Amino acid sequence: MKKKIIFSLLCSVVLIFSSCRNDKNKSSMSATNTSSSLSDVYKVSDTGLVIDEEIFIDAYLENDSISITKAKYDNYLEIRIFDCLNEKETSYEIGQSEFCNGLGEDLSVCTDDNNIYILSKSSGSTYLYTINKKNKTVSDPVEFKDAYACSMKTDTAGKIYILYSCYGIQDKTTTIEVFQNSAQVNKIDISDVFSQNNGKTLRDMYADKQGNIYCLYSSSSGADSYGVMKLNTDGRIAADCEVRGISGDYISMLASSSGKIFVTSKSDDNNLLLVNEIDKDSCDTINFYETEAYSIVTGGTGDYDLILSDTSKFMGYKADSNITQDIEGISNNSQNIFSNGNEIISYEFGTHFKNSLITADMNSYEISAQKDLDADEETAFVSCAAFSNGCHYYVRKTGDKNILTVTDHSGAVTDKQEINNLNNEDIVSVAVDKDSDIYLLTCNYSDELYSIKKYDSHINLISEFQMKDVKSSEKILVYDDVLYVTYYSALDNKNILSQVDFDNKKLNNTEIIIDNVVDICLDSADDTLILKDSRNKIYKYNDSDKTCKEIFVLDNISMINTVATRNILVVDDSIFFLYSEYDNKLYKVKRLNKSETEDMNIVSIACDSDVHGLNQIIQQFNNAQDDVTYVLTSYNDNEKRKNFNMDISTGKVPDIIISSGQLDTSIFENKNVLVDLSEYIKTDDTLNSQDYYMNISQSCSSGNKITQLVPSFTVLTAVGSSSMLGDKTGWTYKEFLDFVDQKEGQDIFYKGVICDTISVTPDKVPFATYSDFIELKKGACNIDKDYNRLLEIYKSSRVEDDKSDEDCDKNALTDAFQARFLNGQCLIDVQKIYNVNIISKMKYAYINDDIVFKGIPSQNCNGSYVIPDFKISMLETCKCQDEAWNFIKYFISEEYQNKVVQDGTFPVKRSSFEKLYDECVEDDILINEKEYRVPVPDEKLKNQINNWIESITSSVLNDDSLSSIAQQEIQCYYDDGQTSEETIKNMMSKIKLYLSESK
Amino acid sequence: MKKKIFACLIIALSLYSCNSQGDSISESVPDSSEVTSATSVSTTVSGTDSEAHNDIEKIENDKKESESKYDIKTDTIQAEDIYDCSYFTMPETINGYNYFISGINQNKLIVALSQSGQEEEHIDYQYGLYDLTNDSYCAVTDFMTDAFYLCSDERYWIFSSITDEVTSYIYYDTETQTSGTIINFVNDITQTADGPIINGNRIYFDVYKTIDDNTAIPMVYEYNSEDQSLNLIYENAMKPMCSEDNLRVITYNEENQKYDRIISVTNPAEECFQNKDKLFDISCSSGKIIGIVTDHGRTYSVKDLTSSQEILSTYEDNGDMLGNMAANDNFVCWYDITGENNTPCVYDTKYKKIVTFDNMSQCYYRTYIYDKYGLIFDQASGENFKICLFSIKGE
Repeated sequence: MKKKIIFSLLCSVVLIFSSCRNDKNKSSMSATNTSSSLSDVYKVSDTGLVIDEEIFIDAYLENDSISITKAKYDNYLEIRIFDCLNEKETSYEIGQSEFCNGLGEDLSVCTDDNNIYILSKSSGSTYLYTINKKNKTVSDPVEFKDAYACSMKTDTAGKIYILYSCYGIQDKTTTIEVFQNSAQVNKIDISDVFSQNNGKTLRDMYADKQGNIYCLYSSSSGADSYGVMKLNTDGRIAADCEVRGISGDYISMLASSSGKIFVTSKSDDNNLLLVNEIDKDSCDTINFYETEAYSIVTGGTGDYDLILSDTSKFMGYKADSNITQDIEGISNNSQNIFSNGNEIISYEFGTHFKNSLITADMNSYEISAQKDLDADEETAFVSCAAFSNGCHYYVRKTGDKNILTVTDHSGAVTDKQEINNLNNEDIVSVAVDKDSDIYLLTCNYSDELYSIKKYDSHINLISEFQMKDVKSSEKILVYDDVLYVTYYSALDNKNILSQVDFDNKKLNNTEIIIDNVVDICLDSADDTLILKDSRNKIYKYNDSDKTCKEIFVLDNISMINTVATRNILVVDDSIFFLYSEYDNKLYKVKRLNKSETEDMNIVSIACDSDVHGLNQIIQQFNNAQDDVTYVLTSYNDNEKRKNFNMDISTGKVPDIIISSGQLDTSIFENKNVLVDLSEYIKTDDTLNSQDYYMNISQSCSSGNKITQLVPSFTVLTAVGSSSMLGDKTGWTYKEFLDFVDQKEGQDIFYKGVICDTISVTPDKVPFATYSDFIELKKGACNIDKDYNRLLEIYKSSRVEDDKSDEDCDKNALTDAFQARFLNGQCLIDVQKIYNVNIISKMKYAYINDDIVFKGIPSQNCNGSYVIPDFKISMLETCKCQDEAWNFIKYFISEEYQNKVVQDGTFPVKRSSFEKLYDECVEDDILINEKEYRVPVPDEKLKNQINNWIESITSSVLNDDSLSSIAQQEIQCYYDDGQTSEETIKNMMSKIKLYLSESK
Repeated sequence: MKKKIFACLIIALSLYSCNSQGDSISESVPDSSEVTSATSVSTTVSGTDSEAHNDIEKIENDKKESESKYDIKTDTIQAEDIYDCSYFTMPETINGYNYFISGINQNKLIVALSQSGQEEEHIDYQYGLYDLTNDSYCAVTDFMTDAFYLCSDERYWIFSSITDEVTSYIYYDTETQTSGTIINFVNDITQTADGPIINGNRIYFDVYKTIDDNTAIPMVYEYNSEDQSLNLIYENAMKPMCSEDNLRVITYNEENQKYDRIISVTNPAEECFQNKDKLFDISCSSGKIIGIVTDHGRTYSVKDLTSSQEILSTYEDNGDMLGNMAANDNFVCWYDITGENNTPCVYDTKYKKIVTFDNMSQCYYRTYIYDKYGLIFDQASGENFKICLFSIKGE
């Protein structure tokens, strides 16, 4: 949870004083009052029709059925082996999940009669996988740990050679391992030949059928210096000779199927392939050839010495006659080509999209029909779909092509045509009218231009136009023979629903009055228009009177994460389906009627703010328990909060209130209708009551009870050096004023610009501490006479802090602020403290003395004040108090309290609070050109902080009604609208009036 | 708290730097802008002989247009007063190859020749000595792929080399014309931003040894070029520095958990020096510890840490940053790593003065030093770039 600056809440005027009068007749709100559900109760079911490994595309309702188009995908590796002698190609497709240690992007592939070998670098290691050609099973891999420059070659006689180097801190080993039928048959250490210090680096190799190894190496004896070395099967050098005819890059050692050895390179200058034929005994160059270079060069097959390819075709090269001939019959266009005796091997990665259309019963979700769509085109992903005139229209993208596939109701393809007239545009949405004209919403993402195109049923373009000033657009829909489009307007900076006017090639306003429409659908029952706005409200459009009726509020359905929901299929005013992209689930939602909820255990929760993760927490609770349902009503904006009092007065009393101050819980507190949670804490076996700062919640509750549980908090206090202020915490108005008098001539508070988020200008203090003179229970408000002068001091402490960035030197301001205590520019600092690091900094750097949490001057010597992030209350009227407690206690659980620590505020659980110290890091702070070392808090400081937290007994009142009274009057005084005496008088009378009306 | 590498102590410099007893500083990444000029012109300017070339006159005029951007806090002296200074214009190519200056060895430039374009993935460099006095070039190494000069002395040249994706320090022995591996940075050993230094037949450098995912400790190694042995000489220490045959390192201070103790490895009895400044770079010269210190990034100062005497500082408003300091027992040099123009100068540790090169205008200067020789030039200049070779008079 973010650090909540409660001050801003306190200072904001939300409810005006008069609004409280609605609460005057809340006599029904007694402990004996029958609790009724605050919010509608929804039953949410996962239809199970979309599962994790599937991609939801579209859904429609028809009669009592729901038809869903979805895709299942899986990634695979395809290996194609072309037998050049028989001109036959065999393809092997292996799911990527079969490779247990994963596959890298670049593979080496070899084959023998029975197996395919894959050498792949993945996650820092290199693995050799063996694929059985017959059953396509993948073996457990052989790992080459810490291997560099790993490569694989075949001798074309069934042996596979793996070549790699390993580095030690000062040396390098080079090894060749030989495998046959997936078993290692030889291992040759050639580290001496290619040591790190002899200047020879192994670049490529070839092994002949006799086991002789030919190594192509580069030498550090000069630029472009290469040689070929022949090693016997035991690794001894049999021949070594320099190769001269090498230039440029792509230097390889290749062999023909007849065993000729070539060293090839591609010349940078003239796009020529330079070919050195190497003598197998002396390693000398016996022939040199040049031919046109292609992007791929690999070893020869059949009669050809080398195979060349530019991915569109294959050619065989005969060196001695310098002839290049096309090879027919190879289908692939892969860049990854290997030769293997008389075989040409290629591989490619791909993804299958198995698109299917299923029909299921709307109530039982039983699938009645399932049809694979266009199974011959598994690489074509359905990008968008529409259902019209009893037909499904699918836009499928494969490569650069967009294809419109039309199927009948059952999914049988009736038409398939390529969509043209697209200018580097992707298709975003498709719609079809009753004449079977087809509309496409397209986007050129590189230029961020959106267009709408109209085609006839034969995909002939009829009309198109580009939408102007559109930031994004997602949906088009034909309703009542008019095409509608939703988009985000760059001019208005909001979502807009418009009608498409093809005649004039423009967008027209609609008569639909809903603002910020983000999605549109059709009601299956009567083809009426369903709209969703940006606040997740669902409306039904009535064409006859041009009105929209709100039928659902998604935010009130706690089971569903409302982020990225779409495809709302409304069955009637109480049932709808929707797809949640976040959950990848298709939900059915039913709003229960009164009779259905009568026997249910329902815990209703009212919350006035976007408490972080609350929706998910409620979801988890609902998922975990069948016998109780937790229902959230959110009052997270002003409009909703206006309904709170009305809901209460009409008997919709919540069971739990989670308030950050904007729902006025003081009224409930005064009426004694809040449950004392301290008994629950003490008796709950899963909690250790000693492990909580109970005083924090007590400070926000009445008496010694815990009627308002505070899970996390900040502390408002005033700090200074103990040598200046003494060790005693807390002071009365008089004590503070005496201190001010004693220090006459000195600055009590810092008057410069505050440069951190902890310190507070003292003029804000009265806004937060007006609770000091209010006794809620008694409805009394008595302000000490000394408060008059206190106000004057606070007023005089105001500083101008509205300097523009250009005018001020931020470094200088920060320097001055950090040096405020050491430079004698203040004696006290008012702070909202939410981490322990700042306390260390204050002690060891800014104050550079023992720190004292003196607190805020108050009538009752209260000291420091708790500022709760939010408070949780349970009402006596709650029928399921144990279930409600189970929910509430989550917020003081270790799991939640540790999250509080991570979010950087004070947790109420002591053991979690201790973790704050673990987060501390030492620091050096430069003040007045002197460096101050700030260590992590030691035991002494930890004890001081813990004791200080333990001692806090007061809280700021964060109820907006009272806050607004105090704020209005104090602000009026600050603005010179009234004297301090008048301010106190007005505050007292208004607060008393409010309290008396609240009784 | 675990011992951690505090970035604030020695920041990771983007360029490898090193200083040997022979003293040089080099960068691993070639600067194509240094490849210039069709002819080589030599003009000697000394304190007494002021026959200024036309080009020099232009430089002088340029100089008058701008004031020093350094706040010099010690005495200054003109280079010509104490050094023999020679000004040269570098050729466009050497032996038909593009090249860049990597350092200085005695009074000759160390240049890296390359045919390849900088955009290529692997580049072959040949390193050699360029004699400014007669425009002659003498190759020292063969062409080596992805090898970057770090430092040298009379016999050994040290490079950072990348092969098979493994980075290594390698040496080239100019006497035997053989090369060898000093260390491979593999497994838990990784390279630091500081390069090696050479002192006699010993090469010193620091590395990071990874302890766990979040922690690495620095360690100082010594490579003995006589027996090719590699020895860990100090754990939890960094930045080996050598001055007057005294090897010092920065070690970890358990008390305050900082790397702030500068100790002598050669002479353990020497009193430990505890640094209290925010160090950005550090070297030793004439027995003194010289650092670039910063007040939280506002200004950067060259400071004699031993005497707490500030030598020179940037101005706060300029945003300049000093770095890549190198030192030997004659000079201390550095440059503005923000790429801004500044006053070409070095610090002379014998005279204890800032030496300014008044025949050079403010520029993005770069300095290499070796024994009594130094080299200073504008590394941002385009074609026909000029270079000043200086040496201590009478030595």
